[in-house]
Amino acid sequence: MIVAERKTIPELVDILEGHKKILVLGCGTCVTVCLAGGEREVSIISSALRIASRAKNLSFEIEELTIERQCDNVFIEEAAKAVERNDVVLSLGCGAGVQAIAERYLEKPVYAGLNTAFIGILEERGIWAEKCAACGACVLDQYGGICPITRCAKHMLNGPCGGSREDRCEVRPDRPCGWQLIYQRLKGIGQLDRLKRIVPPKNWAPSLGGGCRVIVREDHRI
Amino acid sequence: MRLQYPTNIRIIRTPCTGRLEVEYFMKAFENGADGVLVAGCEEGSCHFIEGNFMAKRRVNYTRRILSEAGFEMERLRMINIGAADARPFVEHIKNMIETIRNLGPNPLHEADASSSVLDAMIEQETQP
Repeated sequence: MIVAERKTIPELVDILEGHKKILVLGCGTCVTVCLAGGEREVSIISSALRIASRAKNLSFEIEELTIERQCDNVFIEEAAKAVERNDVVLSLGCGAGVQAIAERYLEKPVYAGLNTAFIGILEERGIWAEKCAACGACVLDQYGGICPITRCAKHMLNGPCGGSREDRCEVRPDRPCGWQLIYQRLKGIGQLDRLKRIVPPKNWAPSLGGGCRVIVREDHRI
Repeated sequence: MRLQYPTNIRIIRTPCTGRLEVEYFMKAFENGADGVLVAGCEEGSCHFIEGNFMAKRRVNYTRRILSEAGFEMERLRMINIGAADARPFVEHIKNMIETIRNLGPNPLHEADASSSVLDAMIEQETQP
């Protein structure tokens, strides 16, 4: 899922200052699961904004709404009336959600209330970790399902850097060494011989370097 | 024991402090509460294992958000106290009242607080 975290209340006040009628719009998908922009967070952030508004005399009028998915036009439609009623939208969706709303409602300013962080999973209660960099050319098949791009701080493709201490990464000692994990995993599934192959430099062309990435599926086009 | 404690507090029962959510505290202040004192069981003696620890983390998180919003976070406090500890209970309440008295009334308090969510909750709670 896409993982995000909320901006601080002073940052949001700074963004919203000067506006009056504000729609705080949550998203019921990824950001709900990572506890950043779901119905509950919409309620908490709206309360905090109302408190900040009264404390600083900003006269915010805040409406709360959470739709199923901000990155999908079908669901965005549900917000149409609420968007119309308000001067601006503070979207608690991920970066894609914010832009989808902005593209749909051309006449309304749409602001991001979250910082979209990464694609990851819940590791344990209250801890989310990055698992995928969306590099566009997946290599997970070669490394036992553990990504050397996101799990190794140096994105090493041909073995560990040699700097790890015990099983800890030298760049981030609070995280395990990605290559330690890859070795253990390949050993566990009997594929250690994969490590003998020399992997050529990764092709980063499908990553961010070539501008906005687009996938076209002719079989689904009308 | 017949201990007296200030009458300007209202007690809201909850099955466990672990039931309390950040939204509850935010709504309470938004609706004009001068202070909220969360009284959880002593650490290590939660009937639901870790309800009071969950409450502690939520209280701390709420204090941070309140502070970010420019609101006095001292208005929200959590204590850990046994169900039979009458004397410390009275002391904690007196202490909290003193803190609130020094801070003054909730700056967000509106004249029309009678329709607030908090009052509705209290009314429901105190109905026979």
